[in-house]
Amino acid sequence: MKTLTARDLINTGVFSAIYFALTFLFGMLGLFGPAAMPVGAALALIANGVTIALFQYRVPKIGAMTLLGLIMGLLMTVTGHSWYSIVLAALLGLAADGISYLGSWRRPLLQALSYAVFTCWYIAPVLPLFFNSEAYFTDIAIQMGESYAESFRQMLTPTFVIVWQCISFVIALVGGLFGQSVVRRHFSRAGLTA
Amino acid sequence: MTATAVAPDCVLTRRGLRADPRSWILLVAVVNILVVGGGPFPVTVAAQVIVLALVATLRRPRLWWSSLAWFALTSGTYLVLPMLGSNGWLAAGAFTGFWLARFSTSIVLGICVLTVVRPGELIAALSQIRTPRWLTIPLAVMFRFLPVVRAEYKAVVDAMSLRGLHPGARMISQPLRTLEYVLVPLLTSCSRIADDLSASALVRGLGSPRRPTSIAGIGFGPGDALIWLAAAALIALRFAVAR
Repeated sequence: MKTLTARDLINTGVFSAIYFALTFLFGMLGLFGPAAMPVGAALALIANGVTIALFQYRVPKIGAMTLLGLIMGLLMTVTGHSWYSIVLAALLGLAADGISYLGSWRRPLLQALSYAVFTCWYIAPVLPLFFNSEAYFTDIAIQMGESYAESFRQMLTPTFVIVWQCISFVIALVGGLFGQSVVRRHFSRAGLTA
Repeated sequence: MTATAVAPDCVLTRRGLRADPRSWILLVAVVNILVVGGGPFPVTVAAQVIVLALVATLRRPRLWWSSLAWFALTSGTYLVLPMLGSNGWLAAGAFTGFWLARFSTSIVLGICVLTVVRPGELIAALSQIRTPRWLTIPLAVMFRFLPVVRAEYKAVVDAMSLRGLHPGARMISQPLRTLEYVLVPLLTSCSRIADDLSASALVRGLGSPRRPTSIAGIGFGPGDALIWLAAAALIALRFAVAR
């Protein structure tokens, strides 16, 4: 098993910065209104498909995506999201490493799948809404009565999140394939994938 | 960034409250668990008061006022809307306010910490608690690289605009092609910089097995005592108002 060298670690830091910056940049589209939010998320998923494709070409080792996921989780936690991000992003990064390992980091389809699996960590920041809303529902029940709280609880079903997760998984697959094609057409020729 | 170290016994620096990065991490963790992780609302209000006090040391009045206004608006939405009636829309509005208030408290704390803590101090503190190198190196590089990505992105967009291609508008009509036009030069230059950075860092002994020394002023001081007190107060309040 190849270990991560100092050069790999620096690449991980650089690509984490690019990944976070692009996510943040397209996330800002949400400021133009709620309708722009899914557009921004979709663009971020596709743009980062290229980032991650190039990163996995440059650091084809187990642990690379795990580390990138861990750093994203830490960064999300520091910027005020739930700490679930750390665990979920690192575990999904490990899964992504495993999928890429199966194809020795050279099979475009597996690489795209690896990226799509990794991007599922996007769900982490909204998870506390489902796990920790008890405090809120207790508040509601005291103020408005138990039946009211119950009816509201049913409005907030996980179905919406699951549907969105499926759609974004497909978008991420497209982004991953797009990334593979961009890397093949541009970066391999320029000698940047070594 | 100035290279001079700040002694731990100094409380206020030009950048804000001086404290060890490890104390900041403790406060971020406590606020994250108690505020974003649910829990009674008075704890969130107390955390917001602490965050406002910290932001006041940053000398960024706009951040202070917008943080206060945003928290007042969102928590007001949460507290007032349920009194107006019992329809689903009001409840959904109150629910949104409930979470936006919590997220805004911890996000402003995050901004505060990222402004105050210097990368050098963070790395010195992390390596003092024996954080493995595979974590400290990417973290240090990432913090240093975020502004670089921003500058490179601006350079690419400028170059495109100069040639009559405006990436903003085309992002909707031709997303894939526009993304490619922006990303290929951006990733190319960032990869080149990464290669240069690796070479430079290796020459300076980054790959060496010895633990590097640092001139950053870390250690426990009065600022840390304040932060630990604040964190302890939040935890105490959490158990005092538990129901």
